[in-house]
Amino acid sequence: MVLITLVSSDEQNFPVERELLKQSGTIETLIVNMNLDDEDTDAAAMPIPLPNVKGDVLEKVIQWMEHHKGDPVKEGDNEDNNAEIVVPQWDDDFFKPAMYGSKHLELTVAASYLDIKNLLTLSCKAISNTFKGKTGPQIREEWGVPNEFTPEEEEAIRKENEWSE
Amino acid sequence: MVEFLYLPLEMICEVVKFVDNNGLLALRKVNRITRDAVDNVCRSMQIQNIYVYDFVFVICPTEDFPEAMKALHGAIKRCPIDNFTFNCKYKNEAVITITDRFLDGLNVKKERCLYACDFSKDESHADKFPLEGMELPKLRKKVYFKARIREDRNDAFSISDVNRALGFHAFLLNGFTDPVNGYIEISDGNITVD
Repeated sequence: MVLITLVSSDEQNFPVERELLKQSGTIETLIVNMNLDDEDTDAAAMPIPLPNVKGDVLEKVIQWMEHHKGDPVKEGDNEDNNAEIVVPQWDDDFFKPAMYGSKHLELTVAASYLDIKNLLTLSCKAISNTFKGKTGPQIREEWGVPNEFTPEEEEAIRKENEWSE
Repeated sequence: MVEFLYLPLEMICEVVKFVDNNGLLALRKVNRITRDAVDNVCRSMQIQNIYVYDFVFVICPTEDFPEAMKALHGAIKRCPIDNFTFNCKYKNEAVITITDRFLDGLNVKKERCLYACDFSKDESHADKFPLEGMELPKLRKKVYFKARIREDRNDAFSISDVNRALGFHAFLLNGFTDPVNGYIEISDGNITVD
């Protein structure tokens, strides 16, 4: 089993099975371009620095990739079906504990940076699910977001959304 | 979750793409960032084609703008439309006026008149639809809008039904499927109103 070492922004090392890293477009490109796949060269032992991903987040990313090992990678954007994507139970449980904290968002940003399409999709979908069935003020209250709209802006939005009332 | 709002707008938009229609409406009311994100995402979703058939003219003998079309006009005016195709056998001042009023304020790149319409051949109205035969631009999405309200079914539509089905173009690209009263169907990016 070929292992490749990823180095997080806080300099933690994570030896990861080569096969898992195929899920990350960013890392896959690096591996191919830097010839890290070739066990006969010194490059194979070279760690891959990921200056935009902290250790605890990278650990979660790897955990997610391990669970999804062998899953087909999502090809390109498929906006047509965004609303119908279902977050599998395992992923829901995986995201849930961190959902209302910055951790989940860091994971989402990392998925974007590392170009892990399936993780990004499910992560975004999991966040979007938290809005389901809620009104604007309810979302505001749940998130602790102050109402910054002026009465004029609120009126404008009300008018723009009028068709749906 | 307030940290969500500190994400780059691009990332917020990424999440917004997955929000259902009611969620989009709710997010517009949360704060300026989420409102802008929703608008941003919806702006990037564009209708490529609007096909207008005999629709209102059958039920609209005067120059009054039918309520359903008013609502539709209001709903899609924020959405870029690549092609507006007019396909109507009627030709009279009322039809032209209504069509002009429908187009007024819409963000249409190209207007096109199909063969079935005589306007382009009628010198007195040639300037209304001068673009017959123009090549269609490359379509990023195939979104067809067919508007045809039959006289015997006019009362089958309520304005809110039309609005709900067509009003928020985010629906289109989300592949929303919801036959309304059997006359509006949205599926795979195609809209048929019949």
